[in-house]
Amino acid sequence: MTPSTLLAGAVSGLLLGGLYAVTALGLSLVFGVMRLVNVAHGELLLLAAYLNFVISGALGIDPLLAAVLLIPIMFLVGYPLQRWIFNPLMHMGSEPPLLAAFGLSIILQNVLLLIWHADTRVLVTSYSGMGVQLFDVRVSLLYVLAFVMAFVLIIGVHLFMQHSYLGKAIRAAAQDASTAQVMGINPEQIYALTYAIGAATAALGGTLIGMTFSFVPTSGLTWLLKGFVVVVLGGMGSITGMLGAGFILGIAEGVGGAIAGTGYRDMIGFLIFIIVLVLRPAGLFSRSRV
Amino acid sequence: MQKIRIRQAAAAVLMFIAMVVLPACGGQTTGPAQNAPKQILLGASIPETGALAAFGTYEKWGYTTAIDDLNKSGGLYLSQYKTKVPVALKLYDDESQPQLATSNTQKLILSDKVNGLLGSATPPQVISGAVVAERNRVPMVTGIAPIRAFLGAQPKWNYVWDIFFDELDMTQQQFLTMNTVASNKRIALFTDNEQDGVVMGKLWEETAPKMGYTIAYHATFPVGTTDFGDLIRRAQAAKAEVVITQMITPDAIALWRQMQTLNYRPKAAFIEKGSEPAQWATALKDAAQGVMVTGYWYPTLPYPGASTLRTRFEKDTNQTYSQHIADTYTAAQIMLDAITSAGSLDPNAINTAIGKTDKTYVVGPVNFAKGPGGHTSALPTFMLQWQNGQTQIVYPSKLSTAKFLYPLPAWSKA
Repeated sequence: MTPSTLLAGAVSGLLLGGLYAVTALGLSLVFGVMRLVNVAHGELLLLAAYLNFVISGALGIDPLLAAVLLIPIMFLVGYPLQRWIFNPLMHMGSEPPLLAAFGLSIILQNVLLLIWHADTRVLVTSYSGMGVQLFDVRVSLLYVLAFVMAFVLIIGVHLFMQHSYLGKAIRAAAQDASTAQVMGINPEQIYALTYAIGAATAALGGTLIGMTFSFVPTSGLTWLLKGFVVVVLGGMGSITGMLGAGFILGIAEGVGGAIAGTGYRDMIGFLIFIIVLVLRPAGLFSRSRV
Repeated sequence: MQKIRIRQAAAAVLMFIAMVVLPACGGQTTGPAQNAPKQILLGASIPETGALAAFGTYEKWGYTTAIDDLNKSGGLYLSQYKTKVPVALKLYDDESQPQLATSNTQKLILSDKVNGLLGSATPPQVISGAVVAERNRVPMVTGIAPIRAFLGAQPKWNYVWDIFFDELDMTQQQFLTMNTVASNKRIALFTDNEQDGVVMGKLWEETAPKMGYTIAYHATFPVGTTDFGDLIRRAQAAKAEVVITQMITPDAIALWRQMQTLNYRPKAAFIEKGSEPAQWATALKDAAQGVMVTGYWYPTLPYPGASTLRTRFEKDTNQTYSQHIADTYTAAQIMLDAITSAGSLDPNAINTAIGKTDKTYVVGPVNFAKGPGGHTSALPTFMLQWQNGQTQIVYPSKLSTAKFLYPLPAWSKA
């Protein structure tokens, strides 16, 4: 192990952390507002990746451009899921929606298998094989793109939450649904819109996964687990916390992997997850909650 | 009075004929055939979903087609019953998870009461089912489990039979192929923590010095690793001109793409297991060009039905063939031949008959008695290279179907 190996691990980890933040954003939003651990989020990411595979292939356009088209599509996928599956279960306690999310995860996984079979897919672009030099370290251009997009997306969602009427309504419903209802906010509508926004962010996350790595219908769990770590590190439901948490996880994995070996990357991530859960259960950035 | 006695005697004789003699001449309605089972049931737990699903596609086709071919001739002749009996196949999806391969095999034996078993794919899956077959004394024939990994799990098998390549032979092919060209003989090994990754990683470590090569870097990692950046940088720093890997397809694709982004272009790459399915070429397109993988079957080999097997698969599925269609088709054929030889559904008789197999099938010659451990039959290997979306044999020259593309073109030209 040399200083340059550590630097390379830190730089690529930092950039990869951006991708982690993007993929965890929807999970965080849904948890922050509805207190729902959306275990189907991994499959939503994959659904987006597969839809992008179809759209970009059929239209012959760049997957990032296809992702823009995919955002409203995923929004429309997410809205009815919350409206007609999760909302009726919300008043029954935390277990029924969680079980429904499990069920949804399995159903979505099987739908993906049925339609696209189990072959490994990749979103190929002309620049997917390109790399750039950063601090004397060669890194994937896609990692850089993911990093930039994480900033743009998370800051954008944060500003939306802070300054738009809908964002304020979502925050109000998250803080106290009963009081929000008294103020004329329909919490069920807000929940459905929040889930839809979370699914819409999966459009970008799924696209980045497909462009950067490979995916099969069963890859969702990998990204769900990464998402959980980011959400817990960032503070349950904290939007801006996602960014910091993603970077921390990415750097920890990158540097830890460089020191202990790539085989221990995931273990290092989960070790941090457990330590934070024990010492600071509300997360590292919990003040900036939804 | 005497007339009455004669009539009574005649009636008694007629009754005797009716009750005893006629049934014996009765063909279909009585005798051994009447007791014959309605069907012979074979079973397999295969990975139809999950990371190994590509293998499951080929296995399903190989097993099903072999049985369908037999059933077209009216079924399998059982000498014990002097009749042909149709063969059915029960398949369960093990979702590429070893624990499901175990429970599926138990279900096949205990609930479905199969007469014989066919294997899953890759050592963790195959061995998980095989130990259940062994415990319950139900014969199993399998492919897609390299022989030393298979024997590493249990050196002595009694009811399970494996036809696949021998890792010792397979782990020499890369060096033999590289001996035909010039390189710095420095190897970067990437092996995952699955059983065949561990076994073959060790064999390459042992074989390389004997063949005049140096393992400049050996990366080991868990299955499902997504980021290989650190490992690639180390391989690059070790100045390895040859990359040899043993990993599943999704991971192999991720590694190869990251090698491209980090501009690590070896002169030759052997992506074992991962680059074997056709999806390697469909997912990576031009970047797949030139990558090599050891093969054990090719449609041009002089084995009975080899050329038509490929055509049939591609016509049936509209997919590009894989060599696994041959070993899975053969595994089913061996089981069917053994049941025919046994003439009954007695598991011990079938098992003994499998052990006596000595025949050239579509995948090549199979003889368990001569194979390592007495329960394996090693298939001879050769080197395949992806060229323009198809695999071609590039080593040895006596089998080659195309010229060895070496060195790999620069990434910018890939």
